[in-house]
Amino acid sequence: MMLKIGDGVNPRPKKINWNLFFFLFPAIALIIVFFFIPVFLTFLMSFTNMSTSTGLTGFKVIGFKNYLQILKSQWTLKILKNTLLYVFTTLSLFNVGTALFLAIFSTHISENAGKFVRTLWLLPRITPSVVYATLWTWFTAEAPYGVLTQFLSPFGVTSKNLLYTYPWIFIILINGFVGASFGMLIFTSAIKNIPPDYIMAAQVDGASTLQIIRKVILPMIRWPILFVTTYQTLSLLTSFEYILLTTDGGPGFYTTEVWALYAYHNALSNYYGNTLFGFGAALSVFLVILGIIFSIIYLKVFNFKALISEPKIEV
Amino acid sequence: MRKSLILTIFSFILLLSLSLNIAQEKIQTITLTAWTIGPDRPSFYRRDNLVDAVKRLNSLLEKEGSNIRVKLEATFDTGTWADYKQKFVLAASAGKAPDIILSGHEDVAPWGEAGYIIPLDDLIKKYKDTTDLKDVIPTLWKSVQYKEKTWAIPQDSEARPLYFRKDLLKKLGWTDKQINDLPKKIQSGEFTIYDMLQVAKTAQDKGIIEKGYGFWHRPRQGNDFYIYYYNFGGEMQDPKTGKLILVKDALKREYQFFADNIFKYRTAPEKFIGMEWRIWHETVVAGKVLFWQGGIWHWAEWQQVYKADPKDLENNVGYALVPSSDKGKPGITLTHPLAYMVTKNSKYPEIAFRLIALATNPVFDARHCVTSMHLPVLSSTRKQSTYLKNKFLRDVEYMLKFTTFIPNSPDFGTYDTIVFKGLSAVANGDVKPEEAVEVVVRDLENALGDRVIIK
Amino acid sequence: MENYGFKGPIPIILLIIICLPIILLYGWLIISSFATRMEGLKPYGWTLNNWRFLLEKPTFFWQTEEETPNIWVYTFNTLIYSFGITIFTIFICTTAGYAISRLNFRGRRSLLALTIILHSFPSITLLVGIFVVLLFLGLYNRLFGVILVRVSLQLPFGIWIMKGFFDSISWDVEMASLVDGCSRLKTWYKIMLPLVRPGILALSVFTFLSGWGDFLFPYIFIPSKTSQTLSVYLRSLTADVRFVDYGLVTAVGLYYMIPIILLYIFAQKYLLNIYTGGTKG
Repeated sequence: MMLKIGDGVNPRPKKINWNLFFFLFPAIALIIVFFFIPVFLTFLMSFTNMSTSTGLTGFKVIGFKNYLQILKSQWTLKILKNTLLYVFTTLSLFNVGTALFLAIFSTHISENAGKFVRTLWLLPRITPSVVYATLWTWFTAEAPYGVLTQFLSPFGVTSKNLLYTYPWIFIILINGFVGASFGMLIFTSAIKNIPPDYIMAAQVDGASTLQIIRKVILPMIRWPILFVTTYQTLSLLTSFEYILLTTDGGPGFYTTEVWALYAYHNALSNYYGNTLFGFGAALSVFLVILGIIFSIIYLKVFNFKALISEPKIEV
Repeated sequence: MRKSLILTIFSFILLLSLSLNIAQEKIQTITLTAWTIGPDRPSFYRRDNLVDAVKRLNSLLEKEGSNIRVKLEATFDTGTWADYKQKFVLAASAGKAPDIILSGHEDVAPWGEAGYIIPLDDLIKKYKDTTDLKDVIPTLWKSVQYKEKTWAIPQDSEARPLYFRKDLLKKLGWTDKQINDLPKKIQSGEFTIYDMLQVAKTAQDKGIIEKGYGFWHRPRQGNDFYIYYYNFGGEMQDPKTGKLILVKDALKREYQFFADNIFKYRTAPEKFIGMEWRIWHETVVAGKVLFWQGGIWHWAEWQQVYKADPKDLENNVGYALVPSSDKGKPGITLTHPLAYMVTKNSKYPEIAFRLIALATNPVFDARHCVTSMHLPVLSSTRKQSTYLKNKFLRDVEYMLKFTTFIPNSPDFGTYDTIVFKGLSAVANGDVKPEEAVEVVVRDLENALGDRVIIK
Repeated sequence: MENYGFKGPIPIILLIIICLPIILLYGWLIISSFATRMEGLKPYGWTLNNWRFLLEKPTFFWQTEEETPNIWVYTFNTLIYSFGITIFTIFICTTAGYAISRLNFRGRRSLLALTIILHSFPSITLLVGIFVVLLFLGLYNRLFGVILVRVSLQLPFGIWIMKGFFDSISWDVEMASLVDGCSRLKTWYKIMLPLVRPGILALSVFTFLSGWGDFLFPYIFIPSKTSQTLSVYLRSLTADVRFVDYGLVTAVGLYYMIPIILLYIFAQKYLLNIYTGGTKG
């Protein structure tokens, strides 16, 4: 089956370059133009004092001042901790955890019920972010407006703005309910590809549900789990929109501010219109470096090399 | 002879054609663009006043014998300020900015600094006497000046008063006279801001209002908090250098006040900062809160959006300056004027300027004021009948005498973010006021270095 | 395929519990879109008024009729935008995915690693850099420019998924075609693309979804008025905190979601193919 044509039997040696050009040029061109160049420009900008008031031309080069400001800030460590807390809690509880749970159980109840559950969980992802944020602010609002307080008040929970009383719990829930659907879809499709015989055989052997999950299903969907873990870590690292629309990093001193939001606040948004492009760029560069470190760790830990097989036609 | 004849005929034809040309000289229509923003919808005259000023400008141009006619493409945005400003900044650096931009007065600092907008002093001098610009209230000109130049024409102004429920005060045993004298007592400094908290607490203790409903300030980041900072002795900008100032003691007293409101007097609920605006408004309109501080534009909003009964507002809701911190000092408020600016991208800056100058007239000013509940920029607007009919606006107008502004400085955004975070931390119960001040000072020094003066 | 069911009620109970918040959130959304005012899940009165935007132009009282596009224009713009992104993304991801899966060239492994690293670049904070690039290319204030930016952001996911699909196709098929004398290009187009159709459909749905919800890029990079998409319209309804009409917002929000929900229900079959074969197990 695995016919391997060696270098010697290469059918069309002269076409190679043109083929490669056609297949790779569009992607590489876009990657260079919209990833590399902007990152490079951002890197350059991070050494300037560029802001709204300097314009894109009237800035001064200020060396490492922006980076120094980041290092000296009393909040850098806190925001970094917040970022890790946010990424890994949301990831493990929802983007992978709940996603797995949903994928496994929605494929093992009736087909229609499974579809219903998956459609339900897709709703947060397709809801426009402003509307989704509105849903949660009213869900957690003070009595008599809040949906949650309405249900909890019989149990003696006093009326408070729950989002601001337990900001981290809700930030993780709000992001987690959106995040779970990505993994859910990928895991579901992977589970559906497991030959049913495997599971039935285990059932005949008298394995319990938990055993089947641990011994049969999880090993079979190892790759999708690794992919989702890696991809969603990076997604979470750069995401901030739902935090922006709910607590906006507050309350108080950077309580729920994550690095991406911090960069956004400085580079793009400012209540009084003077946005600090240079300082924001330094923050972004930091985030890019963080992302690269994470991706390299993942690629190493998950033995990425095994992901790519040798092409069987050497063309 | 023949030669001269030909020459004569030729020159005659030339002259004729020239004169014909002048007579039928083609009218040249130029298109100006303008961006305006509410974001509150009743402020749509910010755009429509420009649109209607086009007619006036064109007839003026016709009278002057100019061959130029103006067409205007104007938008009215209801998005967020941050997005709107971002969009403008990028458009301006791409050379695609509109001719006219409406924004907050504080933007003259960063935008003037970046060269996105042009100084208008010469044009103002040229047209001041022939337009209504001469009637612009002098303090408002100050708000649009930066580095000794004038960068914009004020478009509207407002005030941020303290509101109170008269019916609740009556239940507390106040006489009608006492209630009606309250604004005056606040103005003179007889009734201070801590007196107010004390009254609110008494009302709560007597069960007239629920706990946590005594005094509500705005629940989100915004200019209003600087009223309290100024009130407790704050200064914001060094007039000579333009550097921002932070007075530590004033900030501490400001933070202390908001902490006292929530934790000592318990006249606002815990986790108050962060409350949804709609909940804030509905609670206030329902008459559950004794004292609250908002904007004058809320008066229109409560009736239009929250279906407040106008009679109830008129009879039971009073308004005054924000009470002062100490006895004998007058009450205080804050104004945040918006202004029209002319951008550097404009090919016809003078025409664009004339358009906004013409849009600034008492008739247009009055209709904008009454539909959106703002205060006028022209002193002559006060004589307009549409304006005179509005009792509320006339009642709050005096507040402009006691007003303050936020500073025009490119660093103000950074400053504000840091100072608000401190307030939010104190109100959230995370830190004590004095600790918060120390943290804020460290942050300001790290972010602004010697561009901020700590006193 | 059929489900083979785990025993016991515990999974069902757990599923119901974790689905409960979503049911409450979206129950509130639906009720609110027909209510005048809400206290918790309790409406204060019923109204169809929130849905008025379907019949009228969404003009507010300060706008004159002729200059405001109606909801259908916004919808149309959003469709064009989302379709544009989808078409370009599919083309670029099927070519690049094929190359990484099947062609032999130096740096193939690095390229795949790179695509995943690209996903960690924070697109929003690179906005100013992207702006400078667009300006330089003359693509600022053009729909095409924004589409290209959006497509780039879809590349990491798209290339990985398409590579997985190409990986799963037997080499015999391709070999047979090459032996028949087809070029690599023709093989890709005639033989391989039809075989990865489920993948293309799945990726289309994902891409369309992301375009449909996009707000910041069209708003910032196309300042002219013609760019109005549904998300920009929706943002304009909620941005003014002082005058938010939550009834209208929820109704428009639901309207916005309906096409996507329909698309999802019809496309679920394909979406669940996203990991067919996938990368190796």
